[in-house]
Amino acid sequence: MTDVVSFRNVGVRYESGPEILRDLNFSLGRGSFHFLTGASGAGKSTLMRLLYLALRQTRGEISIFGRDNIRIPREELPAIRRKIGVVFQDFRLINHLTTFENVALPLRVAGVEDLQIRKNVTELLEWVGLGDHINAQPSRLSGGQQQRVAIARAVIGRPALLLADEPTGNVDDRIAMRLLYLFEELNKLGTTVLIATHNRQLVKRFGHTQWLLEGGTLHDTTNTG
Amino acid sequence: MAFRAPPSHLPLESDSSARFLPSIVALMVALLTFSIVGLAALHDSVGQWSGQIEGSLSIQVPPTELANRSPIEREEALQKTVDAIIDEVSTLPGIARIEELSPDTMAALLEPWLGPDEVISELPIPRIIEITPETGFSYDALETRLGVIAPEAVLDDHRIWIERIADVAFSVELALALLIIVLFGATMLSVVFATRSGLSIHHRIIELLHLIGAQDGYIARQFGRHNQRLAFFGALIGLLIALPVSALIGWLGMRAGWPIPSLVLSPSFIALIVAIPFVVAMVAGITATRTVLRVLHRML
Repeated sequence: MTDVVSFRNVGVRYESGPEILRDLNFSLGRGSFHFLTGASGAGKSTLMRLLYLALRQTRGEISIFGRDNIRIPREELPAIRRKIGVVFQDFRLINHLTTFENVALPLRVAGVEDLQIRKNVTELLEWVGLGDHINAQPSRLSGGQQQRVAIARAVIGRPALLLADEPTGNVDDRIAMRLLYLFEELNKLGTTVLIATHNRQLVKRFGHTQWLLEGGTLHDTTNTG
Repeated sequence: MAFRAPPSHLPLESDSSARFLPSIVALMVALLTFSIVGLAALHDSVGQWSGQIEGSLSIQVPPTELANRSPIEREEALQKTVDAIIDEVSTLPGIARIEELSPDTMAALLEPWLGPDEVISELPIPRIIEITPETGFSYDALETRLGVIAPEAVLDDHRIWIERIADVAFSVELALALLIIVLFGATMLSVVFATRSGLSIHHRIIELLHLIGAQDGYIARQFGRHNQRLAFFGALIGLLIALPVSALIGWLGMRAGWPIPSLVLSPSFIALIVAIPFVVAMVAGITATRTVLRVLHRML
């Protein structure tokens, strides 16, 4: 299996503080599905930021889609970022745009035609149960609905790598399961998925690789739970 | 210029720069327009004054040596000198016209101070010869020739006045030109600050657009178009304030007897004034785009 992401001896520190992530060695194969667990403040979001190219490591090597992240020319970064779908912990929806426009955003910046955008976004919003809220603004939606909008925006461009930071944090178990099934569907289509969550009960219901981030290092807990 | 922008992904219309920028640009453009109109009017007026003064010279022939003679003898001697000067000087190159100010004209000019004609004819009044120079005229040649014909004659070329007027006019024109540059620079600085404040207000959305793969140019163009539109409307308001005020000042000037400077009414000057909002908007758009690109470049 070709690696979509590979980390070798990666460490991160902010300015002159202590290393919050150290000696990270792992890879995400094409079409793999991983859960990343860990207590609050363990560094899950920092690891996510490294993966969606919002942060650079202070040591070690990161390869993403076969490219050394440090050596990727700046003008090529947008094209690589378009292959990565991100569900942010705080959703980051744009309040003055409708649900439809929020979800359509990755397609708009990629220059997709209007007709195609209309078709894809409408279908996806129906699928995540927001067909009746296409023209609603995020402030009019519940926390769970906003989360689904954020997920829809992350997956609308059929990313090769999907990163989700606590995507089930604000929804009940039924919706959480439904969202995770959506991620599984995407995974079956070849998308590599990494989900950061502290809901270990939910993780146990799926048979995917589980990593625990503790003390700044990564541990495989798939078999130990 | 795209003043009707497509829907923006940045809520730029709602931030404080949407109110601040047009106001500051309106104020700056009003001051800019006053300065440009003032500069043009001054330039035009100075040109007219210089033209009027430079267009004539006068030779004064004083009766200094003839004070002891009788009025008739004095006037005859003076007339002889005047005729000799006119004959000699008219042969010099660059003399368009040479003419003595007639005794009647002199008497009429002096009457308010010296009384009626009879008194003036008794007094030793200097004679005045007026010269209108043209291309090829040489002041030095005239001065040399005059020194030979009538050493007592005084040549008045208004040179000191022209130099003084030119000095003052140049200083004022320079000051106005500097003011125009400073005002334009200040307008563009406000655009930079408004853009930076917009960047700071919308930092999270910009970061989001950046992370979902928007090119820097895509984000920068949204700021550029937004600021271009705001600057255009601000400049239009500034112009609409400045023009009626300038016209009012011109009208008050006309009532006080000042001539309307012809340059201000020329098509090229009107085109320059009309172009101000477009130029300001264009420069504001470019400035905002470049500012955003510079800031984005610092992001990973």
